[in-house]
Amino acid sequence: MNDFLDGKVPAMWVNWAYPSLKPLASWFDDFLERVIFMRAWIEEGMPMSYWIPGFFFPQGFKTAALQMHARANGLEIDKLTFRTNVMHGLIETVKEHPETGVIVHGNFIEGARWDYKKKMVEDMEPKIAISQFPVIWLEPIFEVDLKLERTYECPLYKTSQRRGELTTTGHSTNFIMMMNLPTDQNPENWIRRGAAMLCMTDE
Amino acid sequence: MYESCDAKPREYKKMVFALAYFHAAILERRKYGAIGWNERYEWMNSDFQCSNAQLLLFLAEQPEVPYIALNYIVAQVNYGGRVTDDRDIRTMNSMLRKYFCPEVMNDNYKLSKLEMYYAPPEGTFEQLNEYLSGLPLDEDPEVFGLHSNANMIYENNVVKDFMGSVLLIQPRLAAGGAAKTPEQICRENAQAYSARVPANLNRETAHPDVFKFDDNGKPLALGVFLGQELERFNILLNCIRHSLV
Repeated sequence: MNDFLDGKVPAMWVNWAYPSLKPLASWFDDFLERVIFMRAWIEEGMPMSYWIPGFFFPQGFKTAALQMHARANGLEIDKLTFRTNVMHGLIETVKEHPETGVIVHGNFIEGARWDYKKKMVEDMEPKIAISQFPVIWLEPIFEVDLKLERTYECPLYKTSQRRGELTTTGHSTNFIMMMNLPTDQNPENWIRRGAAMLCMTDE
Repeated sequence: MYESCDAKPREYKKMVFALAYFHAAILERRKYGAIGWNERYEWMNSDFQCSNAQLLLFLAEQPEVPYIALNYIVAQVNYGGRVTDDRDIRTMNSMLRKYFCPEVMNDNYKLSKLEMYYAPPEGTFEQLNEYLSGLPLDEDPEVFGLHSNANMIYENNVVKDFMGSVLLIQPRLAAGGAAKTPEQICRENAQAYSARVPANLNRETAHPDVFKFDDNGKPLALGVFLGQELERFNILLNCIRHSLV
């Protein structure tokens, strides 16, 4: 139990947990928050907004949410995808369930930031490499209707490590999904800047 | 080498400079960790030499500079052969496209957001060296396409590594006297955490809508997902609870 002295998460816990780079104290706080979120979902029913970073397997959440829409409307799931609609604030601003799809919250952005006024990705403020990202409405649409002009296909990762690793559950990667974020620049600038969304900070 | 293309000396000088810049930029990006590359790749001088040989060949054989073919062969085949992560391949292609493009033939075209980095106008090898020696030694991450904040990320990583090493070599034994032993501290920590471990998640107390079935008698997809997450949380909860006894 030397881990306890060093403020590290015990190896046995890590073995059964989701990827996280947080030190022990904040790891535990984050863990409690996850359990609270899950318990509220179970006992109070579907939340207005889903805390994507709280899941073990967010990739599965994305598929399930799309499947819900496909089944309810008699559509083929493999013709559907999500449109990324970035909303105007953080979780406090969510007041009702969306008409279709799901609302998700709790993400961060590194290597860029969200400009609330221009409603697009912009360069970071000096000295702030990572910042909170607003709530996103994932709207199910037909894949053929997805417009990718003037958008940066921004990867969402679980942790700042970004790289995938094979886990015992067979889920192989840190990558969750692409979010299509509006930009007025050449999207390749954001690729070179390494701009990505993350589920959590390392602190 | 700089003078080795008789067919298109100006084009070659521009392109070989762009290639060298690309080589240096992708190697330097590794220093910044995951914001540079997801994985750390070991590119070698042979990747450069091979790309240079093909560049010479293409310029000698073809009437125009074949930018698309060169981008493909250098980014995807030569350097890309070592790249395993999908998102890194995308980054690699974007990096090279910035340098291997028709605009690079324009003497005013900049290779980064900074003014002083460009493929110099056609000249001698000595003139090239002169230009290079005028470049700053202390590079802004912008040189490699990254934002200046990347330096801060790099410094944070260095400090974290350093602190990790310091912790490793710290003595474990307390100095005696009234100080607590490591065992005592551990036990107290474990008790404090133990008291905070919540109860397991429970399907029995679920809201009626959560695990319900749709009109076709199938369980809701999000309910199935929730059920799987619930199992994983309970396994972790049990693990933590048992380890703190």
